[in-house]
Amino acid sequence: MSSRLENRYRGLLRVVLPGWYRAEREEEMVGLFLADRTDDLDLEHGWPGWGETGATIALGARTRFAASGAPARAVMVGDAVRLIAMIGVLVQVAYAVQGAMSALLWWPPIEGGTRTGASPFTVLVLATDLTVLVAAVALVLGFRGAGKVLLALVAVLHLARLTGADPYTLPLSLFWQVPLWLTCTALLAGFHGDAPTPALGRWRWALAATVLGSAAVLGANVLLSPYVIVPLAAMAAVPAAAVVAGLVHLLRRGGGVGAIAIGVWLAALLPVELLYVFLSGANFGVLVAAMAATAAALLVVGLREIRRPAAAVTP
Amino acid sequence: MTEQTFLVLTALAEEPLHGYAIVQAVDALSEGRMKLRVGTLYGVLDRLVADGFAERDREEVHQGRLRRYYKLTDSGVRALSAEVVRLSANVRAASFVLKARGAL
Repeated sequence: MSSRLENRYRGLLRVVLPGWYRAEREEEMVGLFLADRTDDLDLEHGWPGWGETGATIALGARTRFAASGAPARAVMVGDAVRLIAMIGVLVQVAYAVQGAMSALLWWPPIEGGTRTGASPFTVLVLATDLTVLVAAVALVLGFRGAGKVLLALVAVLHLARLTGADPYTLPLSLFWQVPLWLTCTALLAGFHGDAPTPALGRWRWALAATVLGSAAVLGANVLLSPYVIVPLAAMAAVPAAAVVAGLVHLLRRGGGVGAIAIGVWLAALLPVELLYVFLSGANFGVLVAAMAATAAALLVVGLREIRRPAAAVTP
Repeated sequence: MTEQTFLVLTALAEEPLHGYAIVQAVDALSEGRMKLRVGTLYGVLDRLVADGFAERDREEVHQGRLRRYYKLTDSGVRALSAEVVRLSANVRAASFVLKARGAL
């Protein structure tokens, strides 16, 4: 009869590792795990422990979001997660460029008609946005570890920014965390030790285009309406770009990995867009409908292909 | 090559080993510094097998538990040899500098 410790460890493996890997390794792993745990009290009341749990989660990331040496479906899911991460970095850069430019254009901030020193909140916003840019540059230059650490730091700083949000905009601030946490999670889970390096040259161009595009949108905003700055990147430019990318992907009959990645991003951006529409009263009905329809079509195409995977791609 | 990979390759260089024996060998080789967890060991083994440096050997049942043995391939021996040459060169360079300072 198996001990409670064995049952707990098997439970951990069941939750963390994919079925195909457990079928191959579970008995071997359980035997090794229990080899040193022979004390009766430990077998009855012991737990796998944080260290073993962490190591199993890392193994779970390697196998669920595989890069090679795994079933084609696991590799395809892994490639999709890595593409979601890289697209997410571009989304964060588009937001950060506008945030940093807005802060710098009106630096030092004006309060009551006089220029004042920067408030801690303004400094926090600027620091967060600049950290996003540094993280993105680190990633496209191949410094994967630094990029991941910096983006995780950005996620923590964004949580700190919530303290400055008023009750009216708090829901928007919370929903705005979704794309950031999606990016961070995909980056940490997808780019494990076995993951291949993305095609950096292509992503460098994409990063440059995102920075210029986002700056151009803010520049147009300033020229057309100097006193009312709208977060156009988040509100319209990024969702519209995602819709266009999704439609082009569908029309060109692109692969399932790209379809899933763009579809997931459109779905993740939808709550933010709906909140913008709700809070500002902007008439973005067409954009919201296009986002929902394109996301649905892409996810159907992607999930259909993931059931019968062809060759996976590297983002 | 990470230290974990290096030590697992070194452990397997002597003879084919099962998971528990690899953990014990790595513990002994590192003089207790490195204690491989189960999840970590299988991550390393998967990579070694995928890279062609190690392969499965035989299977045994010990006290009702499965034990699968792994052995080094010729490619694994070459990779370990190359790493030993690289590390030895580093040790020689560091030793030379430290001797010049009178610290060794």
